[in-house]
Formats: sequence, structure tokens, C-alpha cells
Amino acid sequence: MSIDILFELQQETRRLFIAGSAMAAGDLRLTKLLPRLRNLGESAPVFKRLADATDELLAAEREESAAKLLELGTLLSAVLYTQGRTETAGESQPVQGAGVGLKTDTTYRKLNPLILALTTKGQGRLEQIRASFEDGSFLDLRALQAICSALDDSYAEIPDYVQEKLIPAFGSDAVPVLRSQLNLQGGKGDGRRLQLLHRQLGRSMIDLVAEAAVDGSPEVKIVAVSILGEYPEQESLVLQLSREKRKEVRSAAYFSLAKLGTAAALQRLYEAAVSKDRELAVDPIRASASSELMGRMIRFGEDALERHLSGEGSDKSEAAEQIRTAISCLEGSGRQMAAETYSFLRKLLSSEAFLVQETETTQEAAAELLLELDWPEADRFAIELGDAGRGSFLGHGFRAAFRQMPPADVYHRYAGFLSKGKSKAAKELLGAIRSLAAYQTRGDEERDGAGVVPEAAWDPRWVQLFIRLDLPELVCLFAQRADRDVTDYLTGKLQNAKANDWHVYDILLALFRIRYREAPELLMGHLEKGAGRHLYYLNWQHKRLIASMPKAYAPRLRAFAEQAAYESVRNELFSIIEALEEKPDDAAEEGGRGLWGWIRNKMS
Amino acid sequence: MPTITEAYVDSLAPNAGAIKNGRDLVKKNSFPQLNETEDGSLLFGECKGSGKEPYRCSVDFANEANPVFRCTCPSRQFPCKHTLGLLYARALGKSFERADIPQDIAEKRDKAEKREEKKKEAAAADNGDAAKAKRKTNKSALVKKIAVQLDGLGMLEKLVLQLTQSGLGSVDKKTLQMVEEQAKQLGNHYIPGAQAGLREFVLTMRAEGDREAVYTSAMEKLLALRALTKKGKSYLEQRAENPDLPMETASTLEEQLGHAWQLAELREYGRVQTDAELVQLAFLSYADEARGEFADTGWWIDLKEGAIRVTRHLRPFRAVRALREEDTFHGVVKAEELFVYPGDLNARVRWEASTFRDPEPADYAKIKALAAPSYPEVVKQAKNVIKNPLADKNPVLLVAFRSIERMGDEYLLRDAQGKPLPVADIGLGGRPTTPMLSLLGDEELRDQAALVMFRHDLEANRLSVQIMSIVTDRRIVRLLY
Repeated sequence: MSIDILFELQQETRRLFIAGSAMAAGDLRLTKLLPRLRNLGESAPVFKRLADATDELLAAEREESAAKLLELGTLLSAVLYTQGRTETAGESQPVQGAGVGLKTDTTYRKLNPLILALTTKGQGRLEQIRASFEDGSFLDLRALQAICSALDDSYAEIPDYVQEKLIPAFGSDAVPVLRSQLNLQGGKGDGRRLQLLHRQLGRSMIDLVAEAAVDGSPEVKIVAVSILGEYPEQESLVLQLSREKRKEVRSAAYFSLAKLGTAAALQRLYEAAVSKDRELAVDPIRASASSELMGRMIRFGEDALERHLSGEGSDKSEAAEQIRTAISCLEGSGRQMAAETYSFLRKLLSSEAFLVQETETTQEAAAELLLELDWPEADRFAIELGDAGRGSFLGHGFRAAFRQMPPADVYHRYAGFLSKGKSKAAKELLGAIRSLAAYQTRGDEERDGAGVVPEAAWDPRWVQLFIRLDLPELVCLFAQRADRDVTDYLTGKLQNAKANDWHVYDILLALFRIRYREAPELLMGHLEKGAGRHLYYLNWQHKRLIASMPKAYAPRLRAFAEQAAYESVRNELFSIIEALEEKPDDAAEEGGRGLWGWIRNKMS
Repeated sequence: MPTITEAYVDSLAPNAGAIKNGRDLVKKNSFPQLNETEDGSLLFGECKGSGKEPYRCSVDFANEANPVFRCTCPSRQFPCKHTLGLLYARALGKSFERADIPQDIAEKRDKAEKREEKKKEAAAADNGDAAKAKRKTNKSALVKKIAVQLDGLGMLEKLVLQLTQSGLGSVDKKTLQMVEEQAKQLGNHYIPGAQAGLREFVLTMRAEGDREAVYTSAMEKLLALRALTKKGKSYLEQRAENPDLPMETASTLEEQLGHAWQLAELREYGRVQTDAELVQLAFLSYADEARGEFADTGWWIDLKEGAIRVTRHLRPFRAVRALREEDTFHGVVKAEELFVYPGDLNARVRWEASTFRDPEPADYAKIKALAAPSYPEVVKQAKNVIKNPLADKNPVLLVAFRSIERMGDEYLLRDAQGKPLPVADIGLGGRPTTPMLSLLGDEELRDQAALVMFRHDLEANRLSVQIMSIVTDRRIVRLLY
């Protein structure tokens, strides 16, 4: 074949280009080719020219060789460029397109940054992907592949975002790409693919899911197992998978069993809960919210309690663990079986032998569960427990009492404990009061400035008690009106406080809230005392306080703002003061609140 | 005034950042004042900036094809985000109050008009003086320049011979450093094209990876350099002898040596097409390391001539921030004057003033009708080009196809006679396009036209194409950008 000899010649010239044309003179292999070239040259002139060029190269002096080699190379490559084959061997079939009807209209300047962000490494990628999502330019055929591949990205937030937002937006158009990329033996990204495919295709791909659940790599398997929970007919497979070696797979299987909720599934969950897998089983059991299972867990807990009371050594501690599992399972769902749960908890918390230091966390959980039942009988029992002098339950008792008794009785019953100084009981109780007050005032700051507990819920004597005990932050939370003793106490605290003590602002906010007449003057004084030097930025307290000032203080505030060390602070101050000045006079009284709302609006 | 769409404003912006910033200004309500004149030819407004005084920006459509952007901001970006924001505000349907044209802009308009008139007068006067008043070239300077160019080519030739003699196998770091040094020196010889060619050789040799493939492409680079020096020398020698000879316009030789064609020169050589209509079929921007610039490349079809034209906007790396980044363009461009550079199958083009319109179904039908029907013909055409050592080795053509087919992992196009054309990814800007083929629908896969780039694989002795776009009766499916 004449083409073959061209290739041979090409090989030899290429060799000489690498070795150097200086080696060309009399080259053996080229010499060997020459007669055949000459032969072909008789019929085709182009071969004659090649033969001549080869001849010249073979005969060339060292200095001439380079030019000759280049000449031969030029001639040869020109010939070869005309020889490129375009035929194909074998049968071809028309491409069966997936028919993805996506546009390809996104321009280079918008699409290229997205594709770079999806396919390269470096910072700022997620931001770019977000921007493309927000302006919709990612919905393009050319981005689809890169987007689906990004499910494997090592920067987890990108696959998260892509899985959550981008791919679902493609709908069924993403299916062919996800399918072609899916590798059941792959990593986490393939788990995501399986999930996305299932979201699109649903039941029609259950066979693939089942296959993945049996033969897939661990990451894929876990996803597959959790999908199976939606299909009752897969019960036996899930049951089988719940005995897998890998913990993560078992955990996923338990969740799926909880979703299935069949008798066999619940039986298996129960088995898991009473076996070594108890930690894994707790959350699925809670999720299942099955009363039958709850009932069994209660009975299991009761049995465990008996074993705990009668057992010794390792049996005893094992039983304690089992009790703990039972309680964990009931958390959040105890109310649906309040009577049974209560009777179990009562038994548990009345057993002196169980109330030892080793089981403290379980006791704590049991007491919490007791309150969670929100059941009068349980509350009464909690109060009793608290009264029994066991410091650790005093807080629970107090919370139960707060629910069950009038405020005066609660005060009467518990105030005494606080006077006991640093006792454990006092600490417990104070903790309970603090968290209850924090719960009641939660969100108040955002809505309306300084928080205050609801007046009707607490006995008014509490605030006096806190003053006596010198607990300023509780005084702030409990102060309802500008009574002399409250204001005296708080202003006293203010005087002793250091300039940048954050308590100062809590106290000032409380004083404004209870409409203490001197509050504006106190704030002004505090600011003028040099607080401005320490202001690096304005927090909500500063803004709220300044916005609460009467209009008359505007000039003094301006003077203060001029002194502020930082420009950003100064600007913010000025904008608040301007708003203050624009405020109509009659709104002066109520204005603080309106103005605060306005400022918050502006800041958000 | 043209209808202002978001896409139109996007296309005016110098880069993606400007698009975002301009839009954000509208989103943040930074335009307290938006006005337009009675005749709608001028949009103007005020935009809040960081300073005390707002920026006053305006867009003047007195000359529709060439709007004038004005703004009082100090930004060097042009058009700045404020004028873009003004246009986005219009595109997004914000209300513009009627107002009289501001004094300063009226004055500027007058001045511009006068300038135009003067220009026209001057042009008319020129035409009066007629053909003789061609640009004068300083002959002695030209001869001197050619001598320097020849000197440079001589240097390059010697280097190429030297490299060939000692062989690519003996090229080491030190040699490459020497070659680079020489390339630097070529910078003084007015042959930047040849200089870039030499740099390409260095970059090829420095490339990581398969040594054998590196040798093959380095050998091709040597052959190309050899062809360039040889042809360049004989051409320049001729011109040195007779400076009155016209410049070479039959091939890309001038450009390959590094000549930057000026529009006036192209006009002089009659390389101007009037009232051309072009549609962009594909776009790609890539970094040309040897030349140190980004090449924003567009492939267009000339609706009249049927030829595939190329636009190439070069943005040197060091000037990237100041230059406009070109973009995909969806409309039909109407250019009064289309300047066509010397070239083979895909001549480079440029235009100064243009208007545009949205493409219609008739345009797509027209494009499809322009597609080459027979592959043997097309292949012959391509081979005829690439066999020339100085030619563009990757010609781009529009071909009709009956079907896109698949054989295992390989794809191919088939024409109406059943002749195949192998499809492969040839590394266009690193963007493979074949994986997208199987996602398309039947409509796109049968009886359409494809814009393809050729590549001859020397090792496998195979000529294949990469599909860049598919033109259907309704749309252009762009597989690149």
C-alpha cells in the first residue's frame, strides 16, 4: 500500500527530527525505503518528489542536512494532510436522543463563569453558582453535565446546593445525565444521584434502588435503604438489610423500618432497641411514633428497672443503660401514652436504689420526660420529688409548680430556698427561674426591646427578693414599674458599673421600659462620661436606647455623636438622631417604639 | 431609538461584573430621577453614588447604531455601571419622566454634529481628489523596516535549522531558555507573528505529559516556522526590491508575520463588503499563551455570501481590565461595511457601525440552505486548505447532515448520500461537545445543519470534526457558547 509507505517515511523523518538531522546522512532505514519510493515514483509524481527529497537528505552534508530534512518534512506532511481518512468501519446507528428540550441561549459571559465554578477548584465558587441560580442562567443544556458532575465536588456545600436547588429545577431533563453518571459502586455523589433520580422517577426505578441497596457501595447503599422505606413491598429486603455489618446501613434500615411501620418492622426495631444496637434504634423508634412500640418500650423499661434493683455489677449497669434507652425512645412521644409512661416514671423515680449518682443523667432525662407529659398527676409527682429534698429535682418541681399553682403559692413554696445562699437547691432553683424567664422573654428583644416576664404569671415579691439577693439581671427581667426600691437599686448598680460593662445597657433598657423619669438623663450621662470612645459599632441596645430618647436631647446627642471615634458609628448615630428630630412632638411619649421599628426596618 | 431589552444592555456591558453592578443599581433604587426627551432619543437620569452629588448619566441615541454614553462618574470602565443601570431601568420598565434635553448635552450634540459634517465634507473632498490621494507611505522607511524584518526572519531561520540539526531530543531547559531569549530579540524586528510562533514552540516543548505527542507537535511547529521564514523571506525580499508592490492579500502571510491590518488598508485593497448580514453561530474565548492575550472568537455566517467568517477580539493579559470582553451574540448583525481580512476558508472580519435585529425563522432556513450538502466535497475543501503549511489547520464549515449516528463510543455525521464524517472532541477550548449529542431531541438530530471544526490527527491519519453548533429551523443549538 502506498499510504503505508508514507507512514513509514513519516516515522523515519520524525525519528530524525528527534535525533537531529545531523544523523541523517546515509541513514540505513531511510535508504531501505528509497527503492520502494522510486518504484512508486514511476507512476505517481508525488512519490518521485518524495524520493528525490529523501535522496538529497541522505546525501546532504552535515550543514545542509537540516534544510533538507525540513524540506522533506514539509513535503511529506502536505501529502499526509490530504490523506486523512473519514470512512468508518462497522455499523452505526442513529443516535436516540433523550430529547432534553433545554435552551442554549445563555451567553458566554454568564455561562462560562458557572462552568468554571462547577469544574475547577478555588474560592468564590459557591457564590457564583448561587448567582447563576438566582438569575436563572443555569437552565442551559451546556451546564447540565457540569452541574450533575458537581455532585461529586469535595467542597460539600456545592453538592448540597446543587442537589437542593439546581438539579430539581431541571426536572426530568436531568434524568438522562444523572442516569449515565450513576455508578452504584461510587461515592457520596452517587448516593445523591440515586436520591435525585428517585425524586424524579419514583416507583418506576424501585428495582434499581433495590439493586443498589444490595450490591451498592456503602454510600449508595445507605441512600437506597432509606428510599426503600417508602415501599411496603420492600419490607423483607429492609429487614434483611437491618442486619448488615455496617452500622450506617443498619441505622438507615431502622429509619426505613420506622417509616414502614408494619408489625414485622416494629418487631425488628424493638429487637434492635433491646440489643446492642439500642443507640441506633432510639431515633427511628421516636420517628415511628407507634404507640404499640412505645408500650413495649415502657414494659421493657419496667423489666429493666426490676433487674436493676435486683441485679449486681455489670447486670446492674446494663439494666441502667436499658432504662435509659427506654426513656430516650419515649422522649417527644411520651404524651400519647401519658398514663403508662407516668406509672413507669413514678416507679422509677420512687425507687431509692435507682436514685444513685451513677444514674444521674438517666434520672435527669426521666424528670424531663415527666414534665414533658404535661399531665397534672405527673406535675404533682414532680413537685413531691422536688420537696423530697433531693436538690437535683427541685428545679423540675418548681417548673411543675409554676404550671399547677397560683403565683403567690409558688412564691411561698420556693422563695425560701433561694435564701439558703449557695446551697445546691438554691442553685438548681435559680437555674430553673432563669431558664423559665429566658423562655418567657425569648424574642422580646427583637420585637420590642428589653424583655420582661409576664406580670400576671409571677408573684410581685420575686423582684424584691432578687434585689435583696443582688441579682441585677433578674431584677431587669422582673421589674414591672418604676417603684422606688427598684429604681434605687438599678441606679445604684449603674453608678458602680464600669463604662463598658454590658450590664449597663440592660439596666438602662429596663429603666426606659419601666418609664423611669431620670432614664434619659442617666443614658446621656453615661454616654457623655466617655462611652463613645469605646464604641466600635452600635448594637441593637445602643440604637434602641438612643431611639428612645426624648426629642429635647437631640442637641446633646449630636454633640456626643461628633465625639464618636469611628466614622461608621458616627454616621449611624446621625441617622438615628435625624429620625429623632423629625419625630412629631405628640408622639414623644410613645415614639420610642415607633422609631425603633423604623430604625430596625432601615437596618434590615 | 431601538427597543431596549435586557439582553441588549447585557451586550453593551464590558464584562459580567458590569452587568451585575448595573442591575444592582436598579434593584437598589439608586436612580431618584429618570428622564427621557420628547422624541425619546435621549435617556438621562441621576444616580446615587458614594459622594454627595449624584452622578448624571445619559445615553444618547441620536445615532441609533452608535449610542453615546455619558456620565459624570470617574470610572474608567466604559460604558460605566451608571449608564448601564439607566438602560436596565428602561428595560425593566421603570417610568421615565418627559423632560427637555439638558443644556450641556444639547451643546455636546451640536458639537458632535458639526464634527460629523466636517468629516463628511472632508470625505467628499477626498473623493473629489479621487483615487490618487491614497495613503502615502514613506518608501525609505518601508524599505528600512523590511530590512529589519528580513534580518529577524534570518535569525529565526538559523535557529530553526540549528534546532533541526541537533534534534528535538537534545533540547533541554538551557536550549529552551536560549530560544526564549531569541524570541525576545525578535520583538525588535516587527514580526510579532513569527515571534509568537517561536514562543509556541517553546510552550509546546515545555508541556507536561506524553513526550511522544510533544515531539510530534513540536515537529509540526518547526515545519510551520520553516514555511513562514521561507515564504516570508521571499515575499519581503520582493517588496524590498520594489516597495510599490501591493501587500500580500491572497494568503494570511502578512498576518502570520504579525501585521495588524488597518481598516484603511483593507479598504484600499478593496476588501470591503457592503450591507452584509451576519449571524453568529458559535463563540469561544480562550487564552493564547504564546501571544499573551485572550482571543474572544466568534464564528459567523455571512447570510449573503454563505462563508463562515471569524471575529477575533484580542485582549492582552495585561490590559484585560480595561478592555471589553466580547460575548455570545444572538441577533442578526447588519453591517454597512464589512471589512474582510485576507484569509482561507474562514476569513477574519470586522465592522465599525452596525445595527441588529432579532433572527426570524426565515434566517434559520437561509442558514440551513447555505450548509454544504456533500461530505466528499467538504472534505476536499478542508484538505485543500490544511495541506498548506501556513494554513489554519482547523477550518470551520457549515455542513448539512441527514443524521447523527453512533457506533459504540464514536459519533459521526451522515450526509444525504450516506457519506460519513467522523465526530470527535478536538479540545476546542477544553470544551467537549459530543457528550451533549445524546441529550438532544430527534428534531435536532435529523436533517439539520452543523457548524463543525476540522482536525487532522496525524498519528491516526484521521480527519474528524467537532460539532460546535446545530442549526435547526427554529433555533441555533449552541454546544460551545
